[in-house]
Amino acid sequence: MRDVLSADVLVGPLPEWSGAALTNHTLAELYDEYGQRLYRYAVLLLANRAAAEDAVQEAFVQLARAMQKRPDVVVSFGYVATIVRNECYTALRKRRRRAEDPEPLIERESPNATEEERMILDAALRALPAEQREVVYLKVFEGLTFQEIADRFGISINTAGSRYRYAADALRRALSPTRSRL
Amino acid sequence: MNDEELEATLRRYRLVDPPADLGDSAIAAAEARTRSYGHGWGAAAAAAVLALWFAAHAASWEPQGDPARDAEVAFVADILGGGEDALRYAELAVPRREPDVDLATRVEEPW
Repeated sequence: MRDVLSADVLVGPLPEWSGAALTNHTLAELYDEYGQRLYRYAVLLLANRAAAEDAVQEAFVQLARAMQKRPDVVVSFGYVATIVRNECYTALRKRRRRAEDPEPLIERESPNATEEERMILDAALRALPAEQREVVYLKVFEGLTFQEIADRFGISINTAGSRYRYAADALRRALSPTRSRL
Repeated sequence: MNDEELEATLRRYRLVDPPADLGDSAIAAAEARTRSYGHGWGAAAAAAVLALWFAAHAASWEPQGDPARDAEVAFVADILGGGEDALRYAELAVPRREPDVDLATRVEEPW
């Protein structure tokens, strides 16, 4: 399974996603503002909760160093997310082997959600390559368009779209037996 | 199932929340490693300053004239018959003397 992107996708600070940039911030304020989204991004990218914790923690170390060098740096979600993303791909590139994470990646949000469907989606998401999981996260959970995804990561809109299509097809296949039973 | 239906299905779920202590541990790690990073840079900066000092002063020894050696070179060149070739040979033959350096005094000198 291909789950590692080449280094050329690791880009510099991104333009803002949603969320205002912060100035004169403390690390605690930045974590309060962005921590949950960053962790969720890392969780889906890495499909491993412990690895996601490491990535977020390391990102904050790097962020603190950046702020130490340039106290006036303007920190947006995109800025920190880029650091998290680079940490995630570094972890994937190093192929740090971890024990299969038994903890779920997703939880039920709406009353229509079922535990059976959650388990199927959880397993199907884990089985996707990282770059497809990432596009699913950005499209579905961050609400970005393919054009925005392409712009942020320096890939073509077709590449962004095809990653999503492959992921969507796999998820549909995983869900179809469930649907037929529902 | 089309894309809209798939996305609606996915949005019935949410990605898990971070553990409650992740913020504290991330901030503690950042603060601790930033401190050590700063100390590391301090040591590196001190080493760089020291290296620059030695480089600057080692270079400054070179062009300073040594009248005694110049006289020796001229003497040897004369013995060798004089001329440019003799002078070049004499320059090679007569060793350079390193000046006595009082480190404490040198540190006080302006750059």
